[in-house]
Amino acid sequence: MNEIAIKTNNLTKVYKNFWGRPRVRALNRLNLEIHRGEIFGLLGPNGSGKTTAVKLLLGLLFPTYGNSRVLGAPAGDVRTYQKIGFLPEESYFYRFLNAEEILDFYGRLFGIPKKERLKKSEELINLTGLADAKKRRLGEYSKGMARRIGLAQALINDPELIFLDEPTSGMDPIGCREIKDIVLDFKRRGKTTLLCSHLLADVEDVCDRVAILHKGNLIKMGAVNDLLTIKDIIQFSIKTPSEEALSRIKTVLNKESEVVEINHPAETMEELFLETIKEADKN
Amino acid sequence: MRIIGIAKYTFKEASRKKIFFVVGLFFLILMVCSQFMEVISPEDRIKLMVRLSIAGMTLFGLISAVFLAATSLPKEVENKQIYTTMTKPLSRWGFLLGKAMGVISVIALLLFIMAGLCMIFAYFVEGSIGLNFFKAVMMLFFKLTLMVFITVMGTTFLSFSVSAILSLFIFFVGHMTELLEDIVKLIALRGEEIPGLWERMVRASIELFARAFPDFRVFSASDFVINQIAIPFLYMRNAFFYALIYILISFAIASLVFKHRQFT
Ligand SMILES: Nc1ncnc2c1ncn2[C@@H]1O[C@H](COP(=O)(O)OP(=O)(O)OP(=O)(O)O)[C@@H](O)[C@H]1O
Ligand SMILES: [Mg+2]
Repeated sequence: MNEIAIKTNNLTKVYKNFWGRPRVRALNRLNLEIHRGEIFGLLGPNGSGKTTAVKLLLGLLFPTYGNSRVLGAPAGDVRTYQKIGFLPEESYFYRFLNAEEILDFYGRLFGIPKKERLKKSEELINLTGLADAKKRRLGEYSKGMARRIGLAQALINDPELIFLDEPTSGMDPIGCREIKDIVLDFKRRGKTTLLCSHLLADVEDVCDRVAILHKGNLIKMGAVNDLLTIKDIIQFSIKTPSEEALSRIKTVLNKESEVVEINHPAETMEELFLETIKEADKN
Repeated sequence: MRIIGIAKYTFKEASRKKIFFVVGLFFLILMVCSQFMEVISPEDRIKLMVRLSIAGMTLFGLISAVFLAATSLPKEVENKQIYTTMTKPLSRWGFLLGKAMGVISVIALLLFIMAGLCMIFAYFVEGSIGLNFFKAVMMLFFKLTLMVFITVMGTTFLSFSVSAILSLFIFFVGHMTELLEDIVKLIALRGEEIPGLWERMVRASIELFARAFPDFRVFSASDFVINQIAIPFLYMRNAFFYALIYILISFAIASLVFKHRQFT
């Protein structure tokens, strides 16, 4: 089995205007390796190139320079779509269909036999909490409901690799939690997730590794734990110290109270993100 | 099959837009009107109905075919549903073919409904419509199918409105090949003399222009219907193959363009 799910090689995208003149360098020489079974977070401020990167990996856009491989095939290979799920940034689906019909439509595109299709869409409608609304037209759906049907659609083929572009936008807290659970369950089953977000809490909770994009450049990448750990400071967590104890602890550490935990203090994802972006802006 | 899936839901969309109802209603009005026009005998009424039906079907069919074909792809791109359909294991040409087939099946049903209405009315007038009517409808169907493919081709690189206008333009120019031939003759100023280089160039380019458009007169059945001459089988067969060739050409161009299309 190939261990690498996604690999990009100097992936670059320059949006051109009608006359072919370069307009925006949305992604600049991105080099990434995402392993199978990993939950990888793509972070970055608005307009940093996250969606562009995902579209390139899915073959919706063609790179200006560089290339990428997804599940062992060049990006955009029709056969690999069989194993991929994709929740785009914005979900619009045929307004005139209801939830059951849209899932049937996508199920057909995957060549799933009818019986299985029915079973699977029933299952996903329940999973995404749309059971009460399954007969209503998608045109009448609220934003969060449309997100949910988008998620259901992305899971219909039980994909090996899933791209989620800001999955929690428009979702209520319960929905956010459900998405995280789905992603974690995915990981347990050895599947890969690429998650784009600027909601740091999402990323912090579930991702194994993250990359931070800024103006199209990759400015930081690493395991979430490593990135958030401040290595040169040690933090003691002490259970209910008395005033007296506290002062003595400052001089002598161990004798007075039970030391529960000694570890490195962690930054929040938010702090890390803001710092990194500020740093990058300075340079 | 996956292509059928696309076709099925394209059909569903059109039917939920109540197109069958709207077109059917218009056609019904036309048929009712034809009952109040003065004629001498029941046979004359049938003839009148047939002529009106063919005219109505051509008009409504053309509008529906161009409108549906012109909206199907641009709508999908605009709605951004294209992001999810294009990342499913279905080739891009398969997607286009499915779209076209969906629209064509709508057109087929529309023609069927209109022909059916005409037959019902004929039943009450107590005359029979005759085979020629159905042959003429068949010819119309070939023509509209070609129009669907031409329009779909346009939408692979043009917006909804531009491709609709382009298709109608092609349709009308395609009916004016005679006019173009006349123009060629008219600008051949020196008549019988050996034409100069300039003239030959103009002639050649106009001819090229005329040839690039399908000659829609190939599908014309109105003369046969008006003069009540049976449409020869050979004529129909030619029309069929003529349509097929242009369909293949326009679909090949469409697939090629669409394959290289990016979805920003
Ligand atoms: N179709 C387009 N034409 C021109 N420029 C574009 C196009 N799409 C995106 N861009 C530009 O490319 C850059 C990256 O955009 P992208 O959508 O990838 O950002 P993002 O990281 O997904 O942002 P967000 O968090 O807002 O979703 C932006 O500067 C944007 O203006
Ligand atoms: Mg984005």
